[in-house]
Amino acid sequence: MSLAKVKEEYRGKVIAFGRTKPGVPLGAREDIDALAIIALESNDRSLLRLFEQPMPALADLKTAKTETKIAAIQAKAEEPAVPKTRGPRPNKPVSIKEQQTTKGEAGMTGDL
Amino acid sequence: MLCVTVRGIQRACGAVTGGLSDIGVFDPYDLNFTQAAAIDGVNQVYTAVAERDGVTTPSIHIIQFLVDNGEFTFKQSVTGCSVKYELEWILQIPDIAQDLVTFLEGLDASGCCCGLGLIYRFNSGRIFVAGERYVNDASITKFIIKHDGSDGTSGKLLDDFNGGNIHLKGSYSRLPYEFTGTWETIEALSDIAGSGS
Repeated sequence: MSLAKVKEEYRGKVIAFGRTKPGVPLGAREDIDALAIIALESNDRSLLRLFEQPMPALADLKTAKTETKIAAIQAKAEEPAVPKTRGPRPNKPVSIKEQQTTKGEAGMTGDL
Repeated sequence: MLCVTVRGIQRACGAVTGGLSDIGVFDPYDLNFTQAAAIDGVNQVYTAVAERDGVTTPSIHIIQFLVDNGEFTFKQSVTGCSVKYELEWILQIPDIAQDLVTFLEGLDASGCCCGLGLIYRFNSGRIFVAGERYVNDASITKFIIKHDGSDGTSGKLLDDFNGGNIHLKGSYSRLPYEFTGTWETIEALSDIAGSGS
């Protein structure tokens, strides 16, 4: 849920910023607070007028953006780990060269 | 520091790739770029691009060129305190056809009037803007890019190159600024929007 609100008449406008699929209008974007931060930090009138006034404070927008990121990271971390289903490849040929290299490396490690 | 603030440059150790990956042209009067205020005298990157009021058609036009045949070059010079960067983009476009004629006529016309805006992505993934006119809803000093010095050939043999080498040139007081959005957000303002390309 964004803190900043885009005015109804600009919800169909497309602006290039951040990351999104092509053609997503402001009304369908979930990173509106990021655009509000850009607008406030630049004082760009053409962006500021897109938002309902008064806009949230810059500090509040930055806090909300950070909290959203942390929540997304936590949600990803809490996802159940997908067990690996692939076992070792059956009948994997092992070349003589490969066997020799393995031996050689072990020997070198021992020397060190 | 007693005379001038100089700065170093550091980057994370890693490989980088060469060449242009994508490029689009626009009417510099169509787009407004947003840039945060300078921090400690350091100019910031562009963070957003929006079409200005009155723009009704896609403002960015993607140029398809031969893979591995797009290049950006620059050369800096100074006379006294006056600094100049000569910038050039070279693109190889195959097939001398009416489409190429129409495309070049458009470039020629814009170069004579208000210049060309360019937005382009390197193979390194970085996106840059040149020839822009409006930043933070105010005009900046003229940054004119023109179509200048292109050549082409039909070739002689069946497997000779048939097409044009398009040269776009401009001079400015600095190098082009970087844009931090993704290329997909640029395509959203282009004539291929919605095609999924």
